[in-house]
Amino acid sequence: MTLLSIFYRNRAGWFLPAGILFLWEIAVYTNFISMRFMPSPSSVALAAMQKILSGELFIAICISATRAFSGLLIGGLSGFGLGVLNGISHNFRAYTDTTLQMIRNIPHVALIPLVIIWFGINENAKIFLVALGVFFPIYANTLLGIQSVDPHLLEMGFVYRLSRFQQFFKIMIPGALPSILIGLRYALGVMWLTLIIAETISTSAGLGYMTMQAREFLRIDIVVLIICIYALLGKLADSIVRFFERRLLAWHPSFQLERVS
Amino acid sequence: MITFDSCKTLEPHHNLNNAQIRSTGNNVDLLLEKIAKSFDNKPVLKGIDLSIEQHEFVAVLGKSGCGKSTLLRILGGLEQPDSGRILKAGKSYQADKTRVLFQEPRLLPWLNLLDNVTLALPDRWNKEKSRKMAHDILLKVDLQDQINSWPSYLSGGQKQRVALARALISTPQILAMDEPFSALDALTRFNMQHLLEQVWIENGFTVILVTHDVGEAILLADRVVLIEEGIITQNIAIDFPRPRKVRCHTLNDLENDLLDQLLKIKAA
Repeated sequence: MTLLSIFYRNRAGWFLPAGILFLWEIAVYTNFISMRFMPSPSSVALAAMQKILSGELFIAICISATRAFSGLLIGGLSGFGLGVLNGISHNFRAYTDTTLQMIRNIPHVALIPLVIIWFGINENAKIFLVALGVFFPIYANTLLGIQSVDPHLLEMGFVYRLSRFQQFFKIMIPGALPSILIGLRYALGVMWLTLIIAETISTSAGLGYMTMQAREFLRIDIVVLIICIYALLGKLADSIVRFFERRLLAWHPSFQLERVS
Repeated sequence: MITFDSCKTLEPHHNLNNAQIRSTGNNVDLLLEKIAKSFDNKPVLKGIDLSIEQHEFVAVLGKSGCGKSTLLRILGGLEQPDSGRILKAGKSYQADKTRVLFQEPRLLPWLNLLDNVTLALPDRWNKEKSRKMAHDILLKVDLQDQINSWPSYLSGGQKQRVALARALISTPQILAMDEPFSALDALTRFNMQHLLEQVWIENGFTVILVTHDVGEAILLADRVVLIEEGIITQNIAIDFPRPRKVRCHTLNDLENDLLDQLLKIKAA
């Protein structure tokens, strides 16, 4: 199963966006919507062509994606690690969970003024914010996943004298995986959102920077183009996780039902 | 009656009171001495004394809450007794050669049958060998064609057969079972009982079967032990020849006697 075939399977989902684009084009063409507020899809496509040919778009995407995925890697791994630790060790959870829950209730975007003072406006500031944003969904879902592993299975593992290593990799992690992947999908949403906010506030390169520049020059077509790019990147990341979900959770009855229908 | 000749060696009125108590001491392999266990100061087992011979099939009967499952969990190493001791061949008992079959199959849904069955095998890294072993053991429970399937494709009875195969592949000395067939339908249960008797005869391990099904206990066991409120009150040898038939008269008499005894406890 390739990514393309998943894309093809979901073709029904693309009818609505295509229809909206078509109506939108007509609305702008007939002056029902003013060009000044909303560029037509064709002018956005034109802007896209320009930016692609000049290589600007590619560079901006690379810079933004690097920020996003560095943050995801750092925040995701630490969230996963702490989730596992707290899931396994009752003591560890007793000491850390309250603190983590308190930090979780602070909207991470509220830390932007602090982050700017700490890190300035360089890459670290954005990576820090993204990492903080993705940490909690992955932490919470990993913890939940580990805690909801069927205790009967762990007991079976004990009776069959599995090593701790085996208990962990054969029972706990696979049992927690559905929940972890849900956390990852949620984290990807938070990741793009955080990045957009961070890049809009302070940056000197990347997609957010391109948007801010375009706004200053009233290039509304570029603004809309970048919004579309964000949508595509978000969808792409989600599709990748869904692809892994299908591969890794093929044993799961709910995925087997999907395969039959 | 066709089925009657399989039990013709027995006196027609087999009664609980004159049922012979098996003499112990000759060939005792597993010895339980004054096993007691409480949960939250509520005594569940109040001094269980039981000796079991090698290759014996012992059924433990009792109504729910009598402590029979706790006894099994102690044998499986899942609980420690508060007092008393267990000896295996004269030495302190270790549960590592005991395999437990639970009421639910407890297969890992993310592993196929091959990996489920070879889960606890010491040579599971030797792919060739472990695959061969898994195939042979699944052949015994007639599931060799499903070796690459996930458990979710199997029926309840098939899953329990895989669980049995998983227990057998590591050649246990003791197979401890906690009502392993009670969740199955009557026909599947009948097949499983037959299969269990077969592999037990072939493999020579000791079986301790906890059940509330009197018929099942009499059909399969060499000896039936009745637990009432944490102590053993009956210890009856069942010397009927095998294979036993469900419709045999003497078996039915004994079943009725035992059932009466069980119901009496419930009323008390």
